[in-house]
Amino acid sequence: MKYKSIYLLACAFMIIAFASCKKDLLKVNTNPTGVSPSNYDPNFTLSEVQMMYTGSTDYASEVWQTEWGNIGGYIQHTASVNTSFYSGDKYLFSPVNVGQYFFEAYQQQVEPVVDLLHLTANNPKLNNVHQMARIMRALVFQRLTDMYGDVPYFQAGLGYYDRIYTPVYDKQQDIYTDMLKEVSQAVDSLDVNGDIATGDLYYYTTTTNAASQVAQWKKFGNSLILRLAMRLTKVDPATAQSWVTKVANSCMQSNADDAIVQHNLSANTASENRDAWVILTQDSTDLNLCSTFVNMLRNDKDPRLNVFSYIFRTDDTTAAAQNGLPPGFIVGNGKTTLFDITTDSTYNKSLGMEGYSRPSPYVLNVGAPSMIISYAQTELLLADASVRWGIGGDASVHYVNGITAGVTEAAALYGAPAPTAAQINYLTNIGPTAYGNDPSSNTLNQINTQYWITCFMDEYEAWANWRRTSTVTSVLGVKGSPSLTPTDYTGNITNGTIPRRLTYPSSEALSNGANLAVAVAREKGGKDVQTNRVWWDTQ
Amino acid sequence: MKKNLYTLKLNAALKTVALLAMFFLLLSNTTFAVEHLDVVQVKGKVTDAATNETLPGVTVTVKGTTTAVSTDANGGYSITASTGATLTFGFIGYKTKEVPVSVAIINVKLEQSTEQLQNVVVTALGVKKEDRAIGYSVSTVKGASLTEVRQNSFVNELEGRVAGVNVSGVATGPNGSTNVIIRGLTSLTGNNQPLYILNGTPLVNNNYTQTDNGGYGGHDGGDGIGDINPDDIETVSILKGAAATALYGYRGANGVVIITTKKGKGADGVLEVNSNYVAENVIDNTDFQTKYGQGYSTVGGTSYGTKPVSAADALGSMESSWGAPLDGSITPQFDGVSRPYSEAAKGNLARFYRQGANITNTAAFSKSWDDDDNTRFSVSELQDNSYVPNAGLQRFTFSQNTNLKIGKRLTLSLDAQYNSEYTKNAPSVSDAIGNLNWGPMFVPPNINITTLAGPNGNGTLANGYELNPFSDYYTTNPYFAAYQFQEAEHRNRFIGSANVKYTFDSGYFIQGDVNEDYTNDRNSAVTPTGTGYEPNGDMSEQNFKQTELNIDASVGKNYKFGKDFGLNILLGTNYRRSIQENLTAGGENFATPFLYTISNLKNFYESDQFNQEEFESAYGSADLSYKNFLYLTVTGRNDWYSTLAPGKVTYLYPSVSGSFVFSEIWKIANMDMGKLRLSYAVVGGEADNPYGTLESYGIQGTETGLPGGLSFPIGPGGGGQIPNAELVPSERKEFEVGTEMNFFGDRLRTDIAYYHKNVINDILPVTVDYTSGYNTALLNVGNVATNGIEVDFGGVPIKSGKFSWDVDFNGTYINSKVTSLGDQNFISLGSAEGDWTPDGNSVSNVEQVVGKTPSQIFAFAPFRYKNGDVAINKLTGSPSFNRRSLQDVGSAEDPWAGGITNTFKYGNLDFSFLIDFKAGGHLFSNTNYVAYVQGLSKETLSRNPAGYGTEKIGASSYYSNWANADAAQFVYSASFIKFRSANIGYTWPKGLFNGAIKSVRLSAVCHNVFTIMKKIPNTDPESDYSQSIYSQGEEGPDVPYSRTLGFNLNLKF
Repeated sequence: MKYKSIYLLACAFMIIAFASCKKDLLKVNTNPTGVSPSNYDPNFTLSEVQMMYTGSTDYASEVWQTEWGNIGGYIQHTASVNTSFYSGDKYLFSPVNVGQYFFEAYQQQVEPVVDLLHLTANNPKLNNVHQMARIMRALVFQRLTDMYGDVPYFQAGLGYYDRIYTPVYDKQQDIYTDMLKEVSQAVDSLDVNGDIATGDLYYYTTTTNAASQVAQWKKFGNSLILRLAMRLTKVDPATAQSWVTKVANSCMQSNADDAIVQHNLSANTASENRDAWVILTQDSTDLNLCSTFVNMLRNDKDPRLNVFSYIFRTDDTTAAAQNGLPPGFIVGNGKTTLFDITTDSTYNKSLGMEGYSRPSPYVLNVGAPSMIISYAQTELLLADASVRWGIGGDASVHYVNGITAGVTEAAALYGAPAPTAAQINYLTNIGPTAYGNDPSSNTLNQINTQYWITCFMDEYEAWANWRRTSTVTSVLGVKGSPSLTPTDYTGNITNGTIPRRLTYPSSEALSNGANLAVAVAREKGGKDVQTNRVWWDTQ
Repeated sequence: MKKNLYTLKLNAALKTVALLAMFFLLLSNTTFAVEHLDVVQVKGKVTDAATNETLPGVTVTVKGTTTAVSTDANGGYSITASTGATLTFGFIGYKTKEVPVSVAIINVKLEQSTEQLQNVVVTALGVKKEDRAIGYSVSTVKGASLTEVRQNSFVNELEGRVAGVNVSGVATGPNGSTNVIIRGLTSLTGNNQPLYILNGTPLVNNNYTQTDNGGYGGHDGGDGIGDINPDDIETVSILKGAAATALYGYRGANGVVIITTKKGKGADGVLEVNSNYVAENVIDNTDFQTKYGQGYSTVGGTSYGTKPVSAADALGSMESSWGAPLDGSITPQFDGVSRPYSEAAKGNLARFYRQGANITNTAAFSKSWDDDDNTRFSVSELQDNSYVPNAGLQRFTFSQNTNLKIGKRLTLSLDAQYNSEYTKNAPSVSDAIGNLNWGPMFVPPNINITTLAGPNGNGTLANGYELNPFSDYYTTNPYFAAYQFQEAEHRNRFIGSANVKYTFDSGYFIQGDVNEDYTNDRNSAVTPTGTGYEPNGDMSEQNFKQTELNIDASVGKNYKFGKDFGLNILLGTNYRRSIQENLTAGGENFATPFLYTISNLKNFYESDQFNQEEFESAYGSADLSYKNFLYLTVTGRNDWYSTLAPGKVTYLYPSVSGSFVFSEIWKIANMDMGKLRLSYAVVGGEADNPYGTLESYGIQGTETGLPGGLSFPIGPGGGGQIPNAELVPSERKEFEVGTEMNFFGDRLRTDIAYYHKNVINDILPVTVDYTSGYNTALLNVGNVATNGIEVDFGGVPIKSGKFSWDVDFNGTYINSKVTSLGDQNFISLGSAEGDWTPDGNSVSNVEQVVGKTPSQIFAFAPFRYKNGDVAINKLTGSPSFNRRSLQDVGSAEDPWAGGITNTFKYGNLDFSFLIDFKAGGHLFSNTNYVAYVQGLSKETLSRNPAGYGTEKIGASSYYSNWANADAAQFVYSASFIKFRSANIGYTWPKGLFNGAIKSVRLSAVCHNVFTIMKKIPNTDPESDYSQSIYSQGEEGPDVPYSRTLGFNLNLKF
């Protein structure tokens, strides 16, 4: 019957039609404006990690709230009379500010760097990018753990790959051990004959070849190892020394080796300098340079004062005109309030708050580069190691190199007039000229004060190093480098001491409560407070 | 990348045809087995007694045997019967007729059974069924009730009219969207709006521009359903439960609203003109204090507060009504002019908003050539000069419907609608930024809002920049917002469908449908040069295109087994493809001030979005009837999804429903009809967005300055959603039981329905810890259980002579509970307008919480001692921020709702009105929060000049401490009873001008007549600023409610 044949034909047609559906439907659900992992160039993610490490996209709220709202004030680079936005110099209760970095870093830095590790794993064509990813991961996590202590590390960022939605908190000691191992292995595994990392914002140029890029990354990686190792100064000097000895001669050799992210003015702010962008757009007029910082630079006749500082009203960058804001003040009514800046001798009655120095337009420039790790920092760390343990070369050479590099780089970085040789010489000659191995002198204080100056605009690192060098058992005789006098503003939450760590964001208790509780239980007194110290920051 | 749309459509069409052919042949094979008896061959034709229209599908039975046939497309039949036998002719909506076999040709005229015809309702897929055969609740609203008292979106007129259907407008201006929730929420974080079907065409009802759910404001871009011209609507049929919508599969989860437009059938060249004119005026709900003016509260001393002493002082205190008692003294104001320090703000709303005028004219021409060929064409213009200054809506609608019969068996139905729509300056709501509603609401009691208009009358200075009456630039001058901000939304929309149906002599029919809904939106938004918070301005241009193609093919036939059993079979397939394309360009900083074009922007961005979804379905239904009192319907639909675990997920959605007309068995006194309904069904949900299953990298085209000066794009930021390749559809399982009883010759009608519904596996963006690198993971974890009761009582209490009184009451009770959210206990949805407190938390937010009714409103409540007293900080005399906690104050959902319509008729005069109510829901009122913090609320009248605690603080600090510590006080009951609308009309009995005008009807109409009861002060209880599930129960200073008053004139020529 003819119907039967048509029926069979129709059935066949139907089966074909539906068989083709599955494939079509899958294709339909593939975003045509996105890129699938198989077609994606992981170099983009390398760029992303490096960019986000300088501050997250959108509003860079961690840069504003955590770095400038708090940390810059803790270590007295900055001060403010605005207790809502910049309360760092007064150690006020600001859980949202101090938690913001944690919140942003895991999404904007950890997720892409973990993704990058997966995207490049077991792919010989991307070996060098993979090794760079391992180094970047340590860079990202060092900052995180230095601030908060125990943080999720091994399981972090694996929401997609391993479906881990609530990572456990790892001990800082375990994190450091792994970071040192990872960076060291990565440096060894970089291949001069391998791939060129075209997404590398630090060292890639159009003329880069793999050999030169790898050479730069080895120096960068070793400098990071030095920084990681030196953090263990107090808690595990033996380990610190063995790593320092290993990398002392293979770190950065000149300013040309500095790891820098260039920024530029862009339509959606994504490639702009976050420090500058955020301060300029968020009540920049309330953020002053701290008197501690300004006075130190002026007393040393440090040419960097002209680069960092200026008086807005008079557009004056001369050293003599600079007037740092003393920490711990507010604007009162001139009569009764205890911490009233208007009663302070530094207060200029005609200029008011505009009589105090602010970060200069050199540094507050959305096109200004971000320093990641500099040769100057590296040399100063080696000077510290040399004084402390007699390893890694001549302390005074490292010290002079560090200062010279720091002063010249600061001007070069921000497009300021280059310092004169006389200015540099003056600076390298002040204080003890023979550094020898005398840890009982205030040599270490001076070295690390220089480190503190060099780290301006990287407040996280400045604060971490200050904590590393602070001790009360005082073989070294310093309270921290430099010696900062804490403020004791009414209502501060640290009993008038400079905070030693940041507290976790309050939302962590809701979204990862059980794991957080384990970490907090390990804290001194079982409390998540800013007066507790991280593992490497022993008394 | 973007495959040609039309190639895809063609492919789809071919697939569907293939499926269709298969189903059709399957059926054909079975029918050829019918045997013949060789006695007498009777032939004939069945027609409608009144219209002479041929009637296909009439069941012709030889009485007492199982022999039965159906009439063909032409009403013809042929049946074998022995002489002397009796033929029974039965058809839905007609009286059954019996004719003895005496001649070979028997032509039969069937009379319409008026009672039964009224009870034919439109069910899923547009299938008309006898009411008694339906085993679930269906509500029908006649178009006439939507046209006289009307609103720009006809859906708003459904409010209070249908049990189980919760309709609420959004307070966002002339083209705002409408929130329609049928039988409670079915998705905890996604789309809950029903599926709208216009003459068989599924409509796109996206609302892609909504007020921000974090409370940052923005405007409402309107939804899709608002484009339908109410004058074209014949009936609206609302399918509420899962059994009613099961044939729509994954699309039926939220209920289905079927709109049937008017046809030209039966019209002999009728031109109908309808004109509607209404004036619209703002309703001022404010009741603020009038004792203290602008200024600052004093600390200690004997005075209450200080009044401004200079213009600068006045500018600083424009959002601070903590000044001195109003004493009439001449006092400087923000603009440097000194005016009496006395009450001047009463009536600011009426001064700022203007009288709106809304005119709609529709002309429709209907013509029917013969029984089966007819056409209707209508053109309509709506011109709404909104009461919101400088805002408005203009809408042209052209629509046509044509039905043709080609030959004996083929019918063709063509529908088309074209819209051209322009929304001007949809106002921003909620946050103060660009929100023209903020200033008129909150200026201090001594400020007349018109002073903010400034010298140019439009809120500008001489240089064209914003005249800033507020020291905070983020509070925009309302006149500047109204006259300088620019929003333009141009919409072009085409909805078209073609239906072809071929009916074989045997009664089989085969039909095909192609439906397309195409919308192009072209939106521009300009924040002008000189705006306080954005001095260099910004703008965006958006081109948004949405298309939805549906292709359906189906076959069906009615069978009769013996004289008692009937069976209707329908089998069909559906292919659906939906595409949304969004191209946006914009940026900030105009290079040349006041030149508003994107090429004039210094900082420029653009984005491209392309969403596509594809679904394939096969469905079937069987309606079984026994005699005229037992009915059973079984349906099934299988869906294939592109958006869920692609290629893997197919789901079969079954339904079974039955109806038992017990009044046919047991005769109950005075009961005309009594029936029991019972149904159970499972329908699915879809993913709200495509691409949730696979990892994909979006490239951010940012140029990054590399050391070598090279530019490089950077990859996407993390912190997004974890894709899930295992997503399956959510499910709604619903059991429904109901009864329908009519008494006393239909003078009393009752309909009661109870249902229990479980939403299972709702797809939720579950919060994951951000140390996982992400914010959320898309998981199938949400469960919701809902019970509900719906009642309808109606009747004609009085009917004597020319007078009649008709009353209709509907009521709804819903009890809904979130039963699971996976591993978490709550999901945070949105928060109130950005009121930031010292600890960085907004004072109120909305959450879905396990064990509670959906959309719980949380607000801060102060710490209390065991005896209930609030812990007061002795220093300040007010509660402390640090000792407070978020408290669950209640749900935004209204468990109770209903309405009552009364219609009185006396001869040709009629009067009807609707009173409706909602009860039990809550609303966080940001209006009241801000009024309290700024010293406008009457609750702030007690101002202790000496201060409050041991460390004296002023009234402003004291009350703002209270507001922030006890924000729960601003969560109000949203219950209300409103006299919603009234309508008085007269119909001239014989037309006018000797019949040159066939029919004339004139009516006076009023909407939002007055509020009988409400609990919330200073604002309307229906002031949600967004349709979105993310911000239900959140009110900000939105567009205030309005009352319309006008007339409607209907002429037929």
